[in-house]
Amino acid sequence: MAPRPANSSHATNSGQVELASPEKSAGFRFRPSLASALDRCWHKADAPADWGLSRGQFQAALERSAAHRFGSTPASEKTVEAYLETLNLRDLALACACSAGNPEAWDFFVAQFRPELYRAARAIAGDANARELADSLYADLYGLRESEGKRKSLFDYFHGRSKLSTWLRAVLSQRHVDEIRRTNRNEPLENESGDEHHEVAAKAQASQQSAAPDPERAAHLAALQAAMTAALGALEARDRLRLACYYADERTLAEIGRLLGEHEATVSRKLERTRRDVRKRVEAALRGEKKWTEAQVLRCLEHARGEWPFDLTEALRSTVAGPAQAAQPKAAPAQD
Amino acid sequence: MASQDRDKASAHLLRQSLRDSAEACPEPEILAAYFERSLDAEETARYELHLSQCARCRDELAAMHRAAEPVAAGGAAPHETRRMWLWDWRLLAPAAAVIVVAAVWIARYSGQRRTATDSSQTRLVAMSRQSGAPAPPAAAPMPDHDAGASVESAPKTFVTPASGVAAGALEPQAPARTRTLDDKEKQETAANIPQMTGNELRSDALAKDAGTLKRDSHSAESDEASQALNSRDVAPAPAAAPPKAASGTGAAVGGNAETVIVEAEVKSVAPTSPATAGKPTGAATGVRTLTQQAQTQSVMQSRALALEAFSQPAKINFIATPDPKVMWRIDADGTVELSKDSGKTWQGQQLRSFQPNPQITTGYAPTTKICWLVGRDGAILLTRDAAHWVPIPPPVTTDFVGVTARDSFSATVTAADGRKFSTDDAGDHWNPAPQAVSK
Repeated sequence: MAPRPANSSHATNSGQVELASPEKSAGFRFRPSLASALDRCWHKADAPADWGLSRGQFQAALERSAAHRFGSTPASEKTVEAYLETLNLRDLALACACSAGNPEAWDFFVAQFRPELYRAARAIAGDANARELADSLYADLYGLRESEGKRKSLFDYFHGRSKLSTWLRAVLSQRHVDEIRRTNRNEPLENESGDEHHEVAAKAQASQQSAAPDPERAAHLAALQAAMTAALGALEARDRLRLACYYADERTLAEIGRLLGEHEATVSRKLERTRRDVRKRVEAALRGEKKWTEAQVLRCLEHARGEWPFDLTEALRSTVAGPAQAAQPKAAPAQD
Repeated sequence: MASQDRDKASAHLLRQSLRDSAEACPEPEILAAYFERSLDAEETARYELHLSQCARCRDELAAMHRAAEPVAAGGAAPHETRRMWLWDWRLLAPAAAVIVVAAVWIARYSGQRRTATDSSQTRLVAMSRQSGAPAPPAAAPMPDHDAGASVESAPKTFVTPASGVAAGALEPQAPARTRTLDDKEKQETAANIPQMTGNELRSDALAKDAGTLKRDSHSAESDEASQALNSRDVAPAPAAAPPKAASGTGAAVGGNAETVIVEAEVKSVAPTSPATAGKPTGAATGVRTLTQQAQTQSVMQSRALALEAFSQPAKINFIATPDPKVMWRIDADGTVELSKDSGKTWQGQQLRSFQPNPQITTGYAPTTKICWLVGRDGAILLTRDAAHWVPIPPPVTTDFVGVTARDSFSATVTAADGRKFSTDDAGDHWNPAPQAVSK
């Protein structure tokens, strides 16, 4: 769970955050023009005195948070101020104090968050594994690990962008999923499940076995792959996510609705629309660019139903930029 | 390639295409912020793009939603909480006591009882009889367990308690009541009356509650009743067809329909082994209609079965179609099944889209392929091919208790508060419906 990758460039316009390595708070400094914003944040945080949290420590946490958010992107004073206003400042203060090892802060954290932590662990991992999951997190939060002689607490990675409780759930979820995937790594890859898949594959296989070999099949499938990749790349991120949840994860509409905050009927309708759009794009590409006839398109789909020899994992890594992708800043290479 | 095949091919392609990506995943803080919807638009789009490529992150998001569900003090999930209260001993103990007292009272004081077709009945069945509605294929005569007896002329539809279902908490008993519906209710209810399958409820002599049963001076008969409780034959009638379908071609029932509602009592007691001798609980699978000749025995039997029905936790709702061989049923757990052979065999319906407990309560099938289902929390489902179901956006998010439909586009739903809404485009648009359901 490394912070965002380091960058060495600085933005020096008035009011902007000067950025340096996100690893070291000493390299971050807000300009004096942000002093009033910082004062407001400090008062909003309202950290009790017995937490032993100094204003300087808190400011350092804010600077790390801003660096984490903006990375190498220049940010105006207004943007930074607006960002600081969105932070969960009290939780950030608590995290800072706990990271620094203050006993009162830690006691407060345990009293307030421990029941929720165990409950979340039970909900995520089940009763059998909840304790272990939660306890492992506790150890990392407290900072039992050391790095370069310094105690390293998981709280260092909390930057106040969400509530502390939500962040804890996210960490638990990540650990649980990683553990599941680790234990499943040596198991055979999941075959497509569901009667529909088997039916489709079986039917197509049967027809293939009885049909004479088609020399154009490879070409058809390659063209279809390219068209599909382009069609998926042109989708909005949310539409693509909806498709992935439905087809790759085989989630129900209700589950997808919960994940995306939509009514399941809305999910159904939008999935149908997206599916239709993808199909239209693919067929239009095959007919328009490839100049295929209707019969050739049908034949191509028949081939694809039975056999899909190409690895389409790259489909979603496509560099074909859709509308949502066009606005993204280029991500810096990840560390570790 | 038929349209359906093309859809399947497309689905197959999409499934193949949307696989995992190996890009680095964002930190938990981004996941947490996304969960709280506190990312800005650009970050949200970026993260959703990653989510669409990363099954791991999607799994994490799903795990977070699980963790975020509110739970009871005991740590149960909401759906578990809903069931847990049924097992609360504070409800079970007095409920069991009430059941025992009622059983003893009924066994001791019940006697011969004449029950007219439209006279006092318990809250077990909803019956309908149409005299002027469009005629579905005629149902086979109801099988008669008593040789030579004539069958009641009025087709009846009954709610059958699920067989062998273990018990839950007991709800407080309320007096059964019968009443004749007014026209509006007849029309609406007739369309939603569950239909019998092989387990026909055959009683129109179902016992009322303790407050209305007449004292029976023949103790021998009461012994008979308790014996009937234990030894009744609840096997499905062979080749039984359901009574005439209350649903016709989709229009509301005509004005001649007589509809008597007997509210189904859904109760449960502490788990007991089925058909335990001497005990009023056990696996009840139905109550039989009585013949006039064997009325006394049937009264006893049906009363005993009714008692069991009171003590069973669940009911099955049946949805008839114009073809009496084809029907759906909705189990207490929301499972929807289809039968094409008059209830002999059932095939589960894939309500893949929906949550495990969609809380479907009733439905309407204007044809053998089209069926509308409604239930709690705005649940409205539709199938056009008796196989695949799609959710329909509700007009309001409320509990729906009734539905009628003409076809796969036109339907009227009734909310628990009495409001009705109609659609002519499969739920894309809803309008408040006039109170009288039009044909």
